[in-house]
Parts: sequence; C-alpha cells; structure tokens
Amino acid sequence: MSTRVLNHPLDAVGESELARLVRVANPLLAGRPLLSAGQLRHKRHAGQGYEFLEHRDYVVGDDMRFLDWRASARSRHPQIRRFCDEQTTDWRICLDRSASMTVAEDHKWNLAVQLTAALGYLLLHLGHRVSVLGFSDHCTTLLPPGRGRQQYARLARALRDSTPQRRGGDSDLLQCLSRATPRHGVIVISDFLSPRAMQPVLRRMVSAGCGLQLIHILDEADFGDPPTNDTVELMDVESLEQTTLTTTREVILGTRAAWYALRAELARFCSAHGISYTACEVGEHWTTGALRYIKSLRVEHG
Amino acid sequence: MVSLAAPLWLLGLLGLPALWWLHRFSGANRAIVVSALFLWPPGFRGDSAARKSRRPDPRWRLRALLVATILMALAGPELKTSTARTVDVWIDDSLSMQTVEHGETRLQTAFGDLDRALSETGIAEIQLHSLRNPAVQVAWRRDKDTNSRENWPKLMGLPPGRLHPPIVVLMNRDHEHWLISDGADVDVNAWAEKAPLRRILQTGTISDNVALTLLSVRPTMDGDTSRGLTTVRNLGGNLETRTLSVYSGDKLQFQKSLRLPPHGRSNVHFELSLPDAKHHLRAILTPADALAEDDALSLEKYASSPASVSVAADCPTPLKIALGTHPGILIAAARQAHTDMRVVCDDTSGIDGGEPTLRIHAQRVPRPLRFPPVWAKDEQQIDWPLLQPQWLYSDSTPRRPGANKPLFGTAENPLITVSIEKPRAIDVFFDMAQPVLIRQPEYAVLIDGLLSVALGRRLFDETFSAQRSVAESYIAPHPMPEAGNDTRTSSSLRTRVDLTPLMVLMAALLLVVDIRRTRYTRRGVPAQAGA
Repeated sequence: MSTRVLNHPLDAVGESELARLVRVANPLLAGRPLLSAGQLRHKRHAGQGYEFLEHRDYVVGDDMRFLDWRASARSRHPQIRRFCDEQTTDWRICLDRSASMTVAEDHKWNLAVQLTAALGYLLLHLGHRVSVLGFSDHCTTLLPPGRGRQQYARLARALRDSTPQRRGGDSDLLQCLSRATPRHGVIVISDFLSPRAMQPVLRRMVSAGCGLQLIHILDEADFGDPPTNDTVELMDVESLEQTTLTTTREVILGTRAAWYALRAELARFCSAHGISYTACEVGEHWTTGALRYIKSLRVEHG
Repeated sequence: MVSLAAPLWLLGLLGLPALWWLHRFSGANRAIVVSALFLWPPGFRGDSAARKSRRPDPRWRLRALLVATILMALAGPELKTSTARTVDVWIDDSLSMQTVEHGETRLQTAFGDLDRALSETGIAEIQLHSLRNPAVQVAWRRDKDTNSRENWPKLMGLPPGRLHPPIVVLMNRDHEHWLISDGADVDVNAWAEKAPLRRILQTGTISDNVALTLLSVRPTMDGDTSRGLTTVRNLGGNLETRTLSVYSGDKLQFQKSLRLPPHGRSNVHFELSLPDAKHHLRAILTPADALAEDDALSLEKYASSPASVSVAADCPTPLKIALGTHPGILIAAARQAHTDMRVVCDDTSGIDGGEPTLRIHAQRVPRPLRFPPVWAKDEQQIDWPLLQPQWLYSDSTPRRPGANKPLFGTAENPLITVSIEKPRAIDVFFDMAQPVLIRQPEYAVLIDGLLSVALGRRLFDETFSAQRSVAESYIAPHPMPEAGNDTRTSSSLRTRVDLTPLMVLMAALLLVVDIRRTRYTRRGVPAQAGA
C-alpha cells in the first residue's frame, strides 16, 4: 500500500481542471487523430466503435445519441456510453527521470509529472491505451498499457510513487527504444539535456515508425546562476564530473547562448522530421503547457 | 575592560581548524550543481591532485566568525568600567556615636577616617546611608561636591531613633559597602557579620557611661503634690559618682548625690510641691560624661489643670451633684464662652461646638433592663464599673447606634455610644437620675469614665513620664567582625555591561548572511506557485 506524499505536484492536478482541459480539447481536436496521417492507419472516426468501454459523466460537446438514460437515472447524473474506438492506438509516455530533472528544487520534474498526468488523462478520455515509461540510465515501466477511467487512477498512483534519480545516471532514451513498437505513439517528456539533445536516438525512433511527439521542459536554471567573477567549481548532476572555472561575464553569456542553441537545434530537428515539438517552461502552469501541446497538434494536423 | 564570565567556552575556538578542514575537503557540498556541464566552456577539470590543492570554500571565514561569535556569547563577555566604582557607606548614627572622645564625637572621628580612606583608595564617589533609615542617602563626589566632611553629619539630618540595618539580600551587589560604627550596638554588629561589607571603620575606645533612663511624675490624689521617680544606670565597669538635680523650669526642686556601682542602677524617688502645669520638668546628671545626650531627661508637662465643664440647666440634680464633686473638673459658669467639655440633657441638642459633649437622653417610659449589659473595649482601657441591670432604666424602643460605636449596652439596644470622630460625643440612653442608680458607688466611677473618654485623658491618677532605652546608652565598643563577607575582587565590583545580547545579535546577522549566500550559491528559485 503506497503512502500518499504530501505536497506532491499531482496535488495541483485536479479532476475539475482535467475535465476543463478535455472540454477545451474536444473542439480543438474536433475528432482529429492525434497522430499524423501516413504514420498510422485509422479506420474510423473516434468513438464510433461497437464494443462497450465504460460510462462516464456527460460533458459539453458529447453526442447526445450516446446518452445512457438508465445509467443517468441510477447515478442522477447524465452518463454517456463509451465504446472502444476502433481508431485508437497505444501511446507510450516516456518520462525523463534523470537527475538533471531535479536540479533547482525539482521544478522540472514537477512540471513533467503534471504534464504526464494531464496528457494521460486526455489520451484515456479519447479512448487510447496509455502506458508510461521512465528513463534515465535505464528504462522502467511505470504504468503498463491500459485504458479507461481506472487506468488514470493507476497512472496517478504510479506517478505519485515514482521518484527521479537524484545523482548520477544518464538521460538515455535509447533504453526505451526496444519497448516502442511501430505504429504506437510515443510522447517524450524531457529536458533533453544531452549533447545534441538526444537527436541520434530520436532519429532512430522515427525510423522505427514511432509516432513521436516531444515535450521539452525548459528551466533557465539549467545553465546555472553562479556568482559573477568568482572562481567556482561546477559539478554535473548526472556525470558528477567537476570543473573549476572563473565565471566571467563572457563565460556566463556563452553558457546561456549554448542553452538557447541546444533548444533551437532540437526544434529544428523536430520540424525537419515531422515531430511534434512543444516547449514548456518551468514557472508556467501545467494547463498552459497542456493546451500548448494540444494546439501544436491542431496546427500540425489541421 | 572586557572580561568573560565563562572563559572556558573559548576553548571551542580550537575547533575552528576543523571547520576550515571541512570546508576544504567537502568538495561535493561546495560545488555548484548544474544540469548539464557540457553547456559550460571547458575549464579546469579537476582530478584528485587538483582537489587536494584547491582552496577551501571562502565561506569558511564567515562561518568561523559565526562560530567564534557564538562562543563569545556563551563565554558571557562583560564590559567593566573602572570609573564607575561606587561605594555605599553605611553610617551607624546611633546615640553612642555622639560620644565625645578627644574633643570630637565618634561620628566626626569616623568621618575623618572615611575621608582618609577615600583619599588612599582614590574613590571619587560615595553614597552615604543612614542606618536609622536606609532609604535616605546622600551622594558625594570628590570632584564636584564642596561639602567638607564636617558637613556630612548635617547632610543626614535624621532625628535620633532605632537603627534599621538594610536586609542583606537587598543590598546592591554591584556596589562596594563600607560601615562606619563604634561597635556598641549589638544589632549593628549582628548585621555586620552577614552583610557583604568590604571595609569597616570602627571608632571609639571609652566604655564608661552613666545614663538617666527614666523620669516619671504622678500627681497625688489631693492634687497639691506630685511624686516623682528617676532611674539612673551605670553602664560602665567602674564606680561612678553623680549628682541628680530636678528642675521645674529654672527652679531646683530636688537634688541628690548618687554612688553607682559598676553596671548598677539607682531608683530615686522625690516629691514635688505645688506642681506647675506651665513649666517643664528637667532631670540632669552632673558632672557630664562622654555621652552627654543621655545625662538629662525632661517632661514638657508634669501636671494637668482641671477641665472646665459646662452643665446644662435641665440636667438632673444627682448628675449635677456628681459632676460638681469631681476633683478633676470645674463646673463652668453659664456665661463662660469656652469650656473643655459640655454636658447636655435633652435629645434635641446637637454637637455644634468644637468641644466634647456628654449627651444624656431623657427616658419617657423607663423600664429596668431584662438582660445584663456589657462594656466594649475602649482605647483608654478604663476600668468600667459593673452595672447591674436592675439599676438601669431605659426606654424599650429599639435604637440604632448609627455612625457611633456602641460602648455599653445589651445585644438589643446600645445604652452608651461614642462617636468615632473627634471631638468625642457620648450619648447615654438610660436614666441617669434613677434613685437606685445614684445611690450606688459605681455611679461616680461611671461619670468619671464618661468624662475621661470624652476628654481623651484620665482625670484621676494621670502619670507623666519620659524614658530612654538602655541599649542606646551602651557606648562600650565591641569587637567588630572581620570585613570579609565581600569576597569579590575590586575589579568585579565595577559596573558591568553585559555584551552577550550584542554577541547574539551579531551571530544572528552572520547566520542570516550565510543563509542568503548559501541559497544564492545553490541558485535558489522561488517555489513554483500552484505547481
């Protein structure tokens, strides 16, 4: 039995906010598939299956034809019958658990967890099967594939129980490549802080036929804020490598430029390879990042 | 000058090198953790040799200062000012200090010793305290006060009386305490054994003294003469010869030569003819000895004149007769404007004058009392007569004493009440002309008691006396205790300013600075709102 952690980032992810996110996502997506055409084959429109999936509360935008009057009378709330969507697919959410996500008071990790929960909820609402993988120097299955309302409860529980690596390790997305089967969607939520921003492994995943979408967690603390004109010792949180240098103004500006260049290079790479790319900065609310992700899908597909 | 209350805490400073060592080798804690080192330009990549040669974290100096400040605070630093040394001089100003030796009193001699002691020690400021009243003090500064030592006794300016040494635990521990005494007072010696005295200046060598301790005069019953008594004590160890003289005004009334054995006493009786209330009575021992103050006693008044009493015309005749035969009063004439007291016998007469009043209330339907009345205690403790209830006839109407105090009566009704305020007004609520009452001898005693209460003095057998405590006349100096109760050093007696709060404040400031610098180094980011 897991113990609920107080002040967990998921405490800020409420059911009501998730429901609002779904209401906003419904008209934005307007039944569009979450994956680009050509990478996956979609038989029919979403929600047009025949296999009963579950009941859920009616939300604005739902088709009244699927209103289950008996279930609504029993629960005293309008209930919608949901069916297994024949257009749905499996989604893997790859969550970066490396130590770099914990620098500067876990802000990046907290936002990544919140976005994982939000996207999982959205995907499950659309009838997809969702699983979550955590990766650092190895890949761990945080949540096996599943769908339905219970899957979100399992997702939330898994996220509450998962912790990032504090020191050492690596950000090796390649470890998750073996579990990303073709025709499955893959959402990578990471800070992509590795030389060349994980481009080689991303290229391999695209080549393997994965529908890849990236959510880049950005934090200006990534390039540090040491005292100016002081000889400091810096230590990489993952490799634990140390270096001593004098933090002149030129050094700090150069580091900042390298950080921006890494971000721009990743964005260019995604654009060139048809990968959905969403940047979410630490400090903004998770709903802002989730909506930006949904909008990026709409722009890309629409 | 700064001193430490607990200097052993400073041994903790020996641990500062360990603090330096911790800051030198704790590289993992000292390094700034970054997400991606490859973003930074290549610097000096450290190996083990470089780690050994690197300098300690510069913050070690701040933390060493913080630790040193805390240790200093624990050590209790005190700032002592050498210019603020204050000496409280307690003066035994008892009667024995007025003993004259070598042409000056013991008190004057002691002040001379004090002046010399102050010159020797260089003390510039003292506080003079009287042991008669420790609350009275006189400050004196060598550089500002122009009062010479001859004026110091005048500064105290207290009348003779008992000594009241201060409570030892309440004496100011930050001051130095000295005592001036002749050692003749046992109470002062007992106090000196416990008090934190740093110095005792004892004076006096003479121990022989003869004192007049009692002068008492009592008029005889006929009022023409008075009998007197004096007590003379020899408080020394030698045979003494004195002449006792008693003067009424300037007129010598009695004289007698006395031989007083060592530590002996003599009671001398004498008789005064024609006592004169206008003159005072004075008893003197000659020749005077070293302590002349206890060789005389005087009485401002030793005879009392009869009180003039006005009696209302409607008073019953037996009462008038009884008043007229009282030897202590004179019945005033009707036209006399001022009297010492008046007697009225009607219910309507108020107390309009400034003199005491005895008011006899008329009884309309007098009946004998059913229950025996009792007397209440009065201030003059008069021996009241035992009045039987069958002698007393009174109205049965209940009456309340009001603001007056019941003096005599039953549980139901007061029969005699006395006003609380002066002039006294006495109300009598029974028949003072009842035949069965006036035939009793207690009737005259009752009237005398009522007059004494109203006038506030005894009309019969009044005694005038003046006396002096024997202990005041003992002048033999006893050995004083060693002034060793104050074990503090001279430096510790100086005024102290505790610097501990300052050290604690400084440590708190250093801690805040260190916390801020630590947060800054760790790139503290405000907590993400709502996340």
